[in-house]
Amino acid sequence: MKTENMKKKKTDYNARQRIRCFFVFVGLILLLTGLALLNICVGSTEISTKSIIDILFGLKKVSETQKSIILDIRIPRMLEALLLGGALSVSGFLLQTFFHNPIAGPYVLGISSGAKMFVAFTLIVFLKKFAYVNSITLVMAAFLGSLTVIFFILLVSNRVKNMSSLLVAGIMIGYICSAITDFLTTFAADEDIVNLHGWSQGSFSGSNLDSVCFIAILVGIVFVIVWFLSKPIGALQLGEEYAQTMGVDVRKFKVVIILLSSLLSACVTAFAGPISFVGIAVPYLIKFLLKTVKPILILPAIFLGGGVFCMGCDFVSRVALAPSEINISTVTSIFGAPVVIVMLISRNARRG
Amino acid sequence: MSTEKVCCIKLDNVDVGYGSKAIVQKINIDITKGKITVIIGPNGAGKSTILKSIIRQLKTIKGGIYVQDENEYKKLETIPKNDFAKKVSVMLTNKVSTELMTVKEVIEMGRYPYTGQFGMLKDSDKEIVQQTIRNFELEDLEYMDFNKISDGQKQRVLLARALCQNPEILILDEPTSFLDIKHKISLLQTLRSLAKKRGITIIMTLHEVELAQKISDEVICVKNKSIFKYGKTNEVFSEDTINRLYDINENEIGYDPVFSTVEFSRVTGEPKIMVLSNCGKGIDIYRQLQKEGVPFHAGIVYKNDIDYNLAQKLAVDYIEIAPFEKITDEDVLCAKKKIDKMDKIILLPLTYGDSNAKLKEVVEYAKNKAKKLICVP
Repeated sequence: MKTENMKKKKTDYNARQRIRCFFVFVGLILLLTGLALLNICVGSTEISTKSIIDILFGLKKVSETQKSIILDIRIPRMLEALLLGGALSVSGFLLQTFFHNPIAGPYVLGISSGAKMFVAFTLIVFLKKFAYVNSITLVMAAFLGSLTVIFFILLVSNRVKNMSSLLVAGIMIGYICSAITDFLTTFAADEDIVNLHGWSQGSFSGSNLDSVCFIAILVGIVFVIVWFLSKPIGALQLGEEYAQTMGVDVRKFKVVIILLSSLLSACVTAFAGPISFVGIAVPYLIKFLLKTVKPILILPAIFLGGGVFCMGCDFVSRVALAPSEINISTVTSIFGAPVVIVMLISRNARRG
Repeated sequence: MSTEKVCCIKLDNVDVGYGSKAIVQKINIDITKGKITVIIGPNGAGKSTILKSIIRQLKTIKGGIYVQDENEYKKLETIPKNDFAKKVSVMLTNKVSTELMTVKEVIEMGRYPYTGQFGMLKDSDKEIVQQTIRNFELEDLEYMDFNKISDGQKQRVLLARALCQNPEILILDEPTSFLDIKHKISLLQTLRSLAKKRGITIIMTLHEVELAQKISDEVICVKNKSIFKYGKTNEVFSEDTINRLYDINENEIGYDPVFSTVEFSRVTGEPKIMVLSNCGKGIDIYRQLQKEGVPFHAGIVYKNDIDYNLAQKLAVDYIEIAPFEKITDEDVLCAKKKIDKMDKIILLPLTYGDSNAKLKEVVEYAKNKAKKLICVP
């Protein structure tokens, strides 16, 4: 009788999990497609659905402006939000697993501060010398800034045994970069750095198919590598010490995780600026829905979830106060902060 | 019984510590295969440091650790990570905190060194996991969140996980720390049967000295940056060694290796109470008097009576009789003299035989002449 009960419990649990996974993935894919279409069809300019279909499938001749809006603005922007949202969420998840802390966000190691510092510097220098700044230049500056911080973090992580020390180092580097940025902005002319604040609030605008291709390749490769590391990531969930006794080369693996996570968040910061709360809220929501942390399952789910979240937020930012745009960080904060608060409260309740 | 000792881990002139600072030096130990070896010693002596060096979490400062592989001994550093994980598995004292992992998923982690690229379990792996769950009676907990079960249950699960790794050597760092007595016993018994039935070598640190004495085959004592003593349990657990190891003043408080106990200090002073007892009946009274800080005389005790062991430790004075000898008139006279000096006599139900017949005289005397007599039923 007992074994029968237990067998039933077992099949119950397995069945429930499978159904849950199925619905979560299907739901995410549906939301993804829905939001993608929404982002293409709706915007500050009114374009009829019929025209959109004509543009997408190259049927009838349509006005050049409308074609440009759809193909050169909305679609790249939608794709960028999808890819960068996914990248940011995965980056956050990796750091949370690494630090065994659900509040660790993709920027906890100071990457966005480094990027901002380089962007500030670039804005000042270029605007002084050339009176204008190429968006590609800003992208490269942000990338370079992120990579510099990554370099220092990796140096520190090699010498440091304790994870908290690494966290502190990251926070300190962040503070130093912020201090330098403030220093630069104090002595710069207002007109040079007026865009800095806007940049640091993040935005998906200004994307084109070239940058989307670059992002897709970079994010795609990194994500696949991370997914292939599902096994050691799972081991790390039991803790560093146990992971090491199961055969994981923890030292090397830590460096790889930091590198991959930082590449993802550097990519986001470079193309869209720092976007807050995505890296913390989305992993939490996905864990809540999926009720498992098995890396093979949760990594794709988090990527999709991040894409959905950012596309949704981008839609709100474009449409809510059209024709002007709300900064993306504002929107992600409005939606993301309550999620993080709920997470912290429920964590405390469980602990207490 | 084979007298040949098969060694599975050799520590050859090893110094262990952090950085360049050695915490324990010149360790020369051959750990016997298939036996339970326990490491004991005062706090901070370096027990965990030695374990960490064996499981490769810490580099040795000097010397080499060698592990038996097939018929040869390989230096620790040369063994590939995966092979080492198949040989040695670990259970640590730190609390593991997981998120959304079921008990079964934690146990399945034990198969890590055996699974492929994505960590998918083959049917054989699943069977091993199921068998382990059955052996540890964890079926009820299988699908529960690991974080939500009790500490005792967590330890069982972590031990099950360690066993799924199919090790030859199992290393545990204070596995009984967070457990109540029932679970302590249960865990240690499981370890015993593992060593015996599956021939797994077990190396662990324990704080509970009395449990170490009962469960171990060999003992390593660590103190003052060196191996204080190393050998079979009965050699190490002599009266003196434990007290010296932990710096317990043997006059006041001491570890009794015969009974595996520690008793608190004797109450000194002029005894005004005498306890007349035998066959263990006096033990309760001795302890009560000690707790109340009252010095007492333990009356006439045979050296092979259970009361004797505690009387030796707690009573100010007693009249001892050699085992199975008759009580002499001299002894009776001695006892009567003592009774005269007492204010109170506590009389417990006594067992009489051929050799202690004269005890009745003493009891009669006490009943007639004692200032106050308390009969305990």
